[in-house]
Amino acid sequence: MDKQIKNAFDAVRAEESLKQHTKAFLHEKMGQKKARPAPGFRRAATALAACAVMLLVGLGGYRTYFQGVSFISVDVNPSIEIGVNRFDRVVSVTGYNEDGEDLARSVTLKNKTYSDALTLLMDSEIMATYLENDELVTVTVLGATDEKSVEMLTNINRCAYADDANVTCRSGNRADVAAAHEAGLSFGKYEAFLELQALDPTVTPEEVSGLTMRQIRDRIDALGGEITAHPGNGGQNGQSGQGQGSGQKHNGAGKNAPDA
Amino acid sequence: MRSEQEANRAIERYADTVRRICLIHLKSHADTEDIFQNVFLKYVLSSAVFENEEHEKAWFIRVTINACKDLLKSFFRSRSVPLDALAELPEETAPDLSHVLEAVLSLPKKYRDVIYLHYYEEQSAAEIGRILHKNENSVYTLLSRGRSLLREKLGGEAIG
Repeated sequence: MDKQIKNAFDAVRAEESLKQHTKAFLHEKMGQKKARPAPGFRRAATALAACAVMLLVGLGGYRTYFQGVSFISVDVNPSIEIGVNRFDRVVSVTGYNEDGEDLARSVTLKNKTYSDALTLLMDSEIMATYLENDELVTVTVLGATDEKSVEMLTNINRCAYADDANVTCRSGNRADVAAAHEAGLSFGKYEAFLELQALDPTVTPEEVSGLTMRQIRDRIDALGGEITAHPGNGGQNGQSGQGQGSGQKHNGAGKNAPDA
Repeated sequence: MRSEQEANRAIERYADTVRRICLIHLKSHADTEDIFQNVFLKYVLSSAVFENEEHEKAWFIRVTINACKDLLKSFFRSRSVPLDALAELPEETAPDLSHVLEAVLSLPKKYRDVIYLHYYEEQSAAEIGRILHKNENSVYTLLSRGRSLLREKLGGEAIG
């Protein structure tokens, strides 16, 4: 009987989701604890040490934290670009059209990790409405290095929203960034524009600017383009988008980061 | 403060133990999640140095039991017997064992920890006494009464 009690308890295991939630909670808490000053004498000592560090590091440290080194473009019709610093925290959010600016204003993403920020964005009321209306969402990642792109994409693909059939997560092409911004498009949307332009040379960035990703994709499909970037139109999944994007990103190595 | 890596290692190592103790005390998944966060955050913030794995495990058991009791003391918490926690058990729990768990969970609160620590964690009465802040004789008494009650509930099957 004592063996039965042991076996009965042995079958009780912590659910994986419970462990993951706890890890995420600790990750967040530990970030806050590190930022919070300690009480009393230690607080003064910490403040002095912090001042000294600030003096030593000065503007360099400030720039290190607030400089975006990796970028994520989220495109539906609203297009936004999220700048991520070397500590994986969001430091800038730029809307690339009116809807994008509305979306950027509706959620507070700064200083959150990019994973948390994207989850918050995808769960927002505005994005939920787009997804309910069967719009396509393309998340294009541009890491500071190729390895960083792969790491970010892997993390993003683990998030629940990545399983949505209308959401594609992929790596971007660094070479396109400057041209995209010159054309007034986010680099994620610009890549869709290039794909469409290859099939229809008459199309302009201004024209694409007003189209949703679904409309662009439909035009590419109508022109007989290869279905490379979205699962909703070809039965592929986010991973295939990643593969395609990964191939692209080698083309543009060495160019500057976006000026977001 | 411990590192995130240490915290993750502790979660992987002790999550099942914490989960079992939560099952004994709590009735909802939300409460269990609260306890998980509370216990592992305490671990992260604790400066306790553990002599070995047993020592560390005993710390987790003690802290989890205390956290559960604190949570149940809270004014707004219901105090019902956590039988409905069984509904949240993993499906793979062998059906022929669920009545055993049900019997343990239906014991009065004061016997559950002792039965769990003795039968599952295989702790001695002295160790159980240290964890629960009771003297050894009280542990023997609780164990003996708990065992009798279990025997009744399980239809007189022999209990070791």
